[in-house]
Amino acid sequence: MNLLEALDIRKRFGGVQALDGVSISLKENEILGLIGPNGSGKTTLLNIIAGILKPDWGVIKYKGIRIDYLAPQQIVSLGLVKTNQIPKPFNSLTVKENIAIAVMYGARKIKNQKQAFDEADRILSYIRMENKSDVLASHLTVQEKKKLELARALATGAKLVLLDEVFAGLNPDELKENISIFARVRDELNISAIVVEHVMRAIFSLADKVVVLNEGKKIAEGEPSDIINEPKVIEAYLGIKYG
Amino acid sequence: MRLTVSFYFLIGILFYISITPFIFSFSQTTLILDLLIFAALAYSINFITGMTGYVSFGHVFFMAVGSYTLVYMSKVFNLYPLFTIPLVGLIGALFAFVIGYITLRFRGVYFALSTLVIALASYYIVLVIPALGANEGLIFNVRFEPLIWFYTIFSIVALEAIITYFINHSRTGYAIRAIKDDEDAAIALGINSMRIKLILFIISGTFGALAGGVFAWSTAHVYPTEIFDLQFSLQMLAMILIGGMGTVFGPFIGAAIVYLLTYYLITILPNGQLIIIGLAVILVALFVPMGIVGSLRNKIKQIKQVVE
Amino acid sequence: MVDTLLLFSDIVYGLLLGCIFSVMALGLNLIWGVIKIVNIAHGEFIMLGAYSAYFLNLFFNINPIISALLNTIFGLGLGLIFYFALIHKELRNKETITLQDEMVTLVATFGLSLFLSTLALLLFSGNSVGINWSIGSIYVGFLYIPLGALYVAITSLFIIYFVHIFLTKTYLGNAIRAYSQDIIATQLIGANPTKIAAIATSIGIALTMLSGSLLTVWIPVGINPYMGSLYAPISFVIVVMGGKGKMWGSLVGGLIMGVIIDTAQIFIPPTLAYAIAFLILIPILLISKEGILK
Repeated sequence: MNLLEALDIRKRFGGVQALDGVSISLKENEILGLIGPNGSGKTTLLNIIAGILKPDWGVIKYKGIRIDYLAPQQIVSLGLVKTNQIPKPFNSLTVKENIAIAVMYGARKIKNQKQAFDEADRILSYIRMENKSDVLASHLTVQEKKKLELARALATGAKLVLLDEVFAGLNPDELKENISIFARVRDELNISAIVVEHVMRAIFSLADKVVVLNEGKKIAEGEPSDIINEPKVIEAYLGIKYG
Repeated sequence: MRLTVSFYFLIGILFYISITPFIFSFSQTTLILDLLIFAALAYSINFITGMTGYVSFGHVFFMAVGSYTLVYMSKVFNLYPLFTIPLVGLIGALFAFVIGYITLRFRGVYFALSTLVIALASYYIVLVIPALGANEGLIFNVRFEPLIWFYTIFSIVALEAIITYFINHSRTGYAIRAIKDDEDAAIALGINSMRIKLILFIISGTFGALAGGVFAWSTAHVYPTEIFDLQFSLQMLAMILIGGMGTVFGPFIGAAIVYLLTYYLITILPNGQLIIIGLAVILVALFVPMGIVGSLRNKIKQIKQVVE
Repeated sequence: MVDTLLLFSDIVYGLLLGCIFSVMALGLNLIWGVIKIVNIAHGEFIMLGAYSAYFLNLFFNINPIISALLNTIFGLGLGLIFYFALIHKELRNKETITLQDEMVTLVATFGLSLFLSTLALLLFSGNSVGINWSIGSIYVGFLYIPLGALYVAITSLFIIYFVHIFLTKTYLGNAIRAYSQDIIATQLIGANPTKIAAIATSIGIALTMLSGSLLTVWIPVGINPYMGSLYAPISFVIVVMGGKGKMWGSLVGGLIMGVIIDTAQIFIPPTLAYAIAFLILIPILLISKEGILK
């Protein structure tokens, strides 16, 4: 059984058809790269899967259960979480507290504060930010905020994470580090993910399969190395940025 | 839950306040009684505005609900007011549930405007209800029992302060701070923000009503123009703003300051205390929004970071 | 059951009153839509406009319409002071308003609201006053229309039209509209954001104050320090109804509210009519924050 199935998703905003009958599916432990030019509907699709937006049409099933009509916090409880494209840290709280909240309220709903904070420490070591654990989130750099965004998503205990451009805006060293962090996490925690990205290096390193969207429609699907040679994809995407 | 130093400090202060009728003179005790009513109101708005950042302009509505309920029930059913108090709390909770369920869906400005509109509309509506005294209000016979009034309001404030402490130190306290910082991000991590906001709003409405009830009891009347006056909303906001929003001690410190300011100013400018308070609110909101307790906390954090 | 003649004339009166409501709402809408700040003290500026018309009439025998024009000037000045004293600090260098900023300005303008109304109480006393401007009336068919109300309504419509022209046809007006969409873009077209915000605010306040002057025609005994709490909520409802930032929405919303309030007064006492009108805000918000008028 597929872990996630999104069937025939449609969404309109005013005069724009953001998604026009997109279907994707994901197996357990699979990482799906979702790429496409700006405005192709990638973030909209993620928002719909996460419950932040409701589709005009279509069905979404997670572990066989329909989730398209659930509230975002209910979907998180089931183990599906999305990161924010522009990081939204809790600015008046420390890094550790930010992560602990995800532990306390995510999919695992750990009530014991001590347990939650210990778990937060563990996550901090994964993302290699132990030294910043007591720094206020508002004082972090962009890369650190992105790492925090990822850390919070993982801390919820979700089995399926939707990553919205977590690798964007990073310099080559930061990028390499973040990719290796995520690869390690994926291996050790058995996470599945949909990764929306413009940074091709990340897609190539991490994705098992790739779906390409353009103007709200799916135009290609397959392995990363195949996709990159598809004429349709190159055409839609003139000027692919390779990491 | 671990009880920190501040909890014991709180208990100590509460204990000290509880014995004031035996230490201070009668007139001083009545002053403290008034101060406690202020504090009760401050704590009540603290639960919603202080903690979540949802500005409730119409909080005076709950005070009015409490006052009217107490006077009406005591008068019409000939009850001893103390027995009406639980009912006052219940009615406050009910109104808060209904109003909160609708208005907490709105964010920021829209929530604030909704509460304002409800408070203003209620005033005009009450004015035409004969059973509630229309525009003359209601008065009733009350035994002069300052000691009982004192311990009633004291119990209310103590309860509020302790509940505030437990909320702040619980897991929910973190969720609340998350909601205040970024409600959407909080929801995206699994926090049921509507449920938390509603519970806080119900708590705040309940205690606002209770405070209003004791106010009416100790003054033996409820007049619409007095009880619906937006100055109460302003004073409540001033108290938590100056004291420190969302904190355990903030509402009390703020209440003390605003209270002293009000009573001092009444002697100089009979109607003018609001000008100063209005000005104070503007200045504090613009320049020191974390209030006294908030600023102290920041200073302590800064010192800690330097020392470590 | 209800005299249709009465109903019809009330609708007409409602429309006339609504014209002034539209100008009131326009002032609020301009500030809210452009610098995204809700001025809770809106009602108090209306009150100031009304009082200034009263005093201009009392001492210099100036009629409300001329007072309105004078108030435009006072309003521009006051608006600038209002902007730099309260708002500038919050807006400077910020591209979007965070929730904390929003909260701060809400509370600060609430403080200002009570500050101004209490100040008025101290300066003018709590007694209700009014302007007696009886210049006769005309008969349109069977309708009896006081000329004062008619002139004031016409003035209101002119003002709304001028504001529309200003916003769409002048450089400054377009800069203001650009600012309301995207502050950064405004800099790209060479305009100084602070200047734009300050000017938009002062125009908004000016509109508010002049609406207070025009309003006096309808309230011969209704000018008092607390009148703001009657008219501000109406303005809020209108702006939400018509859509924040949509100027035409304020016009239509104003007319609708005028009619609702005036006709409601056939059945229920005036203050209750206002109260019900206030509460309309909630169903509107439940339907949509963007307003329910197209």
